[in-house]
Amino acid sequence: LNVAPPTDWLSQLRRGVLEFCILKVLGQGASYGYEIVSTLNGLGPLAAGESTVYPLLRRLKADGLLETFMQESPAGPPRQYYRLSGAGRRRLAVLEREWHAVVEAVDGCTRRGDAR
Amino acid sequence: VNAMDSKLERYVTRLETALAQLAPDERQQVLQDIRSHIVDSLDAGKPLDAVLGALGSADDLARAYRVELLLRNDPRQVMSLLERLGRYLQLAGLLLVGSVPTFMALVVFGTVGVTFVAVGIGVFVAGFLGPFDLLPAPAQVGTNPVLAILIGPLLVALGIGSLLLLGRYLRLVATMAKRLVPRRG
Repeated sequence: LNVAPPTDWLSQLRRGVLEFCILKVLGQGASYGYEIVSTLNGLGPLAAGESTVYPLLRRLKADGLLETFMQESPAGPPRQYYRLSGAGRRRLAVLEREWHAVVEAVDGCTRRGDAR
Repeated sequence: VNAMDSKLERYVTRLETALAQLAPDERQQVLQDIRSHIVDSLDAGKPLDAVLGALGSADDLARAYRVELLLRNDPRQVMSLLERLGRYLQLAGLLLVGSVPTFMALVVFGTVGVTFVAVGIGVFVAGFLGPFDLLPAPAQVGTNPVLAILIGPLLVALGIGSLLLLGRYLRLVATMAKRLVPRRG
């Protein structure tokens, strides 16, 4: 009866994946807002706008997964950088395992469908 | 360049005001993020209007921060009883502010709806009974019975319309509430 349109499905999916993506991006090294947002803007169907990413960065920091520090920028005022905390690295490892399990499960559905 | 600077400053000031609920330190870091974002976007050659447009209005952005920060749940973080109480009060405040218009709509449309339907039926029936002297003495006001028979259904229709409006409004509020509070897995 209540069939969700694809956009709704995507937004549900995006919510969970976005947190994973931010941790993954920062897992490759510290970064600042504009750089993080630019990376996440180019994620195709999962692209998230700055009005989603910036608040999420603060929440992840409040949850103790991220740390901030200030660093001079070549031009303009010093920038606030984000990096993973110890808890953030552990969370990233857990989410990576979960993600692979999900991808394998979905692939499993596809193979079963193809075999029939 | 000056007009651009003042536009930027207006946006940041507005955001700062809208974030008054946050702790001063947290608020300053949020403003730092947004200010740097705008500067970096301008450096990348984007026009200011497009940059501010992508951020959304200062009020909407502040709301996104409040929702994200008030609803966070973290088992590792040990919150003091006072902090916990403070957060519940903030959430209760958000709910209360949202429920004042709902309460008014319920009272106004509900009362108007029920009263108009009841009075409309009464007037309609009185229109039939009046000419035959079947009404109790206090109800005999000598109105034209044809007029009463016509006005009765009109009042009933107005009452039903009011109740339908109320129903639509409540459904809208429910949809908005569902959107405001994200589901967490």
